[in-house]
Amino acid sequence: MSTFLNFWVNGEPIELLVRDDETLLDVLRNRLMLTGTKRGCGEGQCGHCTVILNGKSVNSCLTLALEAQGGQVLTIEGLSEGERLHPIQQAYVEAGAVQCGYCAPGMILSIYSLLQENPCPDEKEIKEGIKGVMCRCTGYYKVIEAVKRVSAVEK
Amino acid sequence: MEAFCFKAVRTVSEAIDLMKGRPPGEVALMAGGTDLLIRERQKLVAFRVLVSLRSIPELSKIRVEGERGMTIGAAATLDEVASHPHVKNRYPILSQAARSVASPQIRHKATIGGNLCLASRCWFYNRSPFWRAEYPRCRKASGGDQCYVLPKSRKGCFALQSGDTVGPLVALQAKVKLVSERGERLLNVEDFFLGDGIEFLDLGPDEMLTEVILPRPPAAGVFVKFRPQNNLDFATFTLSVIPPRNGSGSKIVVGSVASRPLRARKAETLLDQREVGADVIAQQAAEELPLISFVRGSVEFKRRAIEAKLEEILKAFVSPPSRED
Repeated sequence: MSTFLNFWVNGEPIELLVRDDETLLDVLRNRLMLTGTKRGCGEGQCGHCTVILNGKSVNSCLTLALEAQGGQVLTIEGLSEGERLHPIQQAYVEAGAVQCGYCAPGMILSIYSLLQENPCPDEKEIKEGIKGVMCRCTGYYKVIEAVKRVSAVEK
Repeated sequence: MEAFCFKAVRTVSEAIDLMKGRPPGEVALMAGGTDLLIRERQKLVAFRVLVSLRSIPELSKIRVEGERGMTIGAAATLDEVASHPHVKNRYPILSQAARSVASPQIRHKATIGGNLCLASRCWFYNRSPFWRAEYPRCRKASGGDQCYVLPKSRKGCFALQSGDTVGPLVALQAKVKLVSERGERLLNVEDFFLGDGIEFLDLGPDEMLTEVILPRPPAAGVFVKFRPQNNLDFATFTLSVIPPRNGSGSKIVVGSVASRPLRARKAETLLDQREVGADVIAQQAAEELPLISFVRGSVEFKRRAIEAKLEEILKAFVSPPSRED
């Protein structure tokens, strides 16, 4: 069965017909061409598909598109304002936290969610906050540095 | 072709109506979906109708019932449970257990009801269909007669109960409310688990878990989740300990080591009496538990680790016995 899905993606209202068993990840990538959201394991372990659904970070591979009915989705494409990077992205650049870059969208949105809940996390809280995203370049320390930078600026 | 139809319901009775008169397994109830959708992809479950429960406002409510305790709606997320001020202050072992599950992303979706009903797991069963297809069929995944956890066993399934909040809920003497067309029933969380890896929950195919009911909070308690690394993985074991009040009511619950949460009852009696040291009680607990060897640890490893961790915990509650030498 297919059902009409009405939701907001990066602030824009969207209506489209989706299959009932389609994941939010597939709808974002294959229908809306928002390929910034990455597929990794497809089992909720790597966190590369992280998006913000109604203010909370979730694994879009473990979320059916229809669960977003009437909801707000924020993907990495919606974070910057045109050419102006979001403060987390800016801190990411300054700290040199990108290596291959595959985990960056999920990682940045995890940090976004973490800072919404806790604007000044300590190192332990940062590690817990980014636990849901695997970086196989193992560049976690630069990421932690980026979070410290941005939370220091926000202070 | 679509694998299933998606129905978001607004009330519990709508969900129950959808299960009515259907063969078992045709309708699946989904709260967070972080366990169910993976098993669907691994072809361990096949359902035709998927009922989403997060759209039932009543089912996510967390209510404080004064001094009597509290009730938590089954579809409250683990994040909501962990960060609820009353849970944090009065039932810290539950808050810590909910916080210890996987990652923030998972905790934003996964629910307390789902954690209680989390399918029992084993290293063979939770693999891809391609991988499983290379081996003779296991009892749980495909109704064969092989068991890869205990290869010499004749019957039964030894997949592990793996929800982290289960141990604390047993220790807190929580109850679950199960609703079906036939009515409602309350069950101790401890009795909700039957002990077999396949038929592991006392939950009928037409029944739905709607509420977790917590009694008056205990004065103290400790929760420990043990895993090889501080990663996303399931626990090697969890320990939930409640000290005695006026010489009775101690709880020592070990989770994730069998198809049901285990209580170390003899050790609990020793803790009630407070006549021997923490080391003796911990040793008693480690000895009386019927542990099985598993990919997450051999029997010997788990016995030693449980004993050591438990001794650490119990030291806070048992004053060292006076030496008579």
